[in-house]
Amino acid sequence: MEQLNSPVPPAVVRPPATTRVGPSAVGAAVVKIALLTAALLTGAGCGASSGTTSAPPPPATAGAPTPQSSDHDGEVPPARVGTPAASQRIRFVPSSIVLPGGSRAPVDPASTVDGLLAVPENVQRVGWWDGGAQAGDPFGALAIAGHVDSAKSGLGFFVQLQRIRAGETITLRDSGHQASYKVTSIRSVPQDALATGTFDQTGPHRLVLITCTGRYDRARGGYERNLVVTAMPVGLAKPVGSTG
Amino acid sequence: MVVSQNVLMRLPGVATRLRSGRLRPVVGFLLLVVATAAAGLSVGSPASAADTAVVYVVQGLPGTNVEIQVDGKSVATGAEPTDIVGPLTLASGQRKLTVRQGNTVLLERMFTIRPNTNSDVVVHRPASPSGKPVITTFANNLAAVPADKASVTVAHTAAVPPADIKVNGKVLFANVANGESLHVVVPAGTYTVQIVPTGQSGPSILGPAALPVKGGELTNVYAIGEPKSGTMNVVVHELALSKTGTGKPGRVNTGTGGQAAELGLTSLWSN
Repeated sequence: MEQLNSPVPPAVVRPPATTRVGPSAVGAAVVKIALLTAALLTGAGCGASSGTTSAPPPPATAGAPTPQSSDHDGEVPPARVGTPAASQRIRFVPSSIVLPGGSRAPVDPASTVDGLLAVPENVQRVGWWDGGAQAGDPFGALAIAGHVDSAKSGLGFFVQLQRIRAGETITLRDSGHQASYKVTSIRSVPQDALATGTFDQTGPHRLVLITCTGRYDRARGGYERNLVVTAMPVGLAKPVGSTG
Repeated sequence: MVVSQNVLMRLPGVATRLRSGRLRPVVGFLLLVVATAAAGLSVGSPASAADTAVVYVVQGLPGTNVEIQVDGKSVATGAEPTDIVGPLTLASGQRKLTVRQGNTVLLERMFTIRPNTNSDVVVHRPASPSGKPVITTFANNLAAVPADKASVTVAHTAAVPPADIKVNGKVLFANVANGESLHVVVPAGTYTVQIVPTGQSGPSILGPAALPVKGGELTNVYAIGEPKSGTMNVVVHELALSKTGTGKPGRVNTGTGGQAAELGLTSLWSN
């Protein structure tokens, strides 16, 4: 690495930033430089050459001093503040799900405990696997599981999945966003075969809804199979006013 | 009044240089620490840990070794293109970043630091190939991710018009202009990344190139340089994140009463 061996720098550097230029730019028109500097000062420097973005001035920070309030050279212009491109994806952890027909249930984060997904005990709530994709992600399964029934509480919210059909729409929401999915497949698998592929985080983004189905084994107290509903995103996740 | 303890250590940041279509990590470079800097920065606000923030300065000017100063104190000399200077612990408030080449000041900008934040301050070319260098600050998204997922931010800091960024052949980041960035969470792995003019398939501005991203980390990718002079390159800045979430379930047991079966609701799916 090259070492410049510069002396201890002066405490205050006072370069008129509008006229100091690199050696290769010495010949550039002063007017052009002044215009560029003006653009930077007004915050219009972001993508100015493209005309496709109109960057706002740096967002005001609560209580932050203005860029020129420094006790240093008042002429030093502010740095640009990077902004998200307009194509920035929204991603969110769903807090509710709306099934075809409009019925809605709260969604709680659910963890894997000893290999079992710990869905909410309340059968009117369902659980979002916390190791999976969020709504709006470009890749991976977003898995939500819920009870078809329980000994204590009777039928659960996801009993409705037994009659869901391909082509129907499912919507996920949080307080400010929503994402819609269209059902592409409904299948049942033996419980011990569920894990194969269902929770993969590679591949296209998809919504996977899981509950129990098939024969109920009363001796064991459980169903033989899992119902797996797969739905593909319809467009990107988007902001909404409220979830109602 | 002298305040914050200025941490001027250089951690093993990873810069990456583009050669032969591969993004190869280049590690192990050393940044020189200027002795006077250890005395701390002179700023006008009270000192406490709560009033500091972490800043990395990204050297995104191709073909130039520069000195980086914060509030007139040198934090790096001979910073090469793609070098990452930091982490610097700086007092919050208004700081001044000066980029020098010998005794010449290339540019100087004020930037705002909020307490307890983490950001990259990038010295780079504007969109116009004839424009003077600029400085853009990007907040580092330190949100936790699952251990097998990578948090990735791609920023346009090169002397090119707005561009599409293709990942594995598809446009994942559309119409990104200089000074803009996009963030996404993806499975850890190696992706093929290419930058092309917005809405077009070519000519390629950069790549296609292989970009490995690690699970449980934030990977910031800055496209820098300029195509005409052959200086397009990327700076890759990796930061460890907290992990969230649990592993893949082996079983989902969501029926313990049998009422649905008694009602005949599940018989359709018995096989």
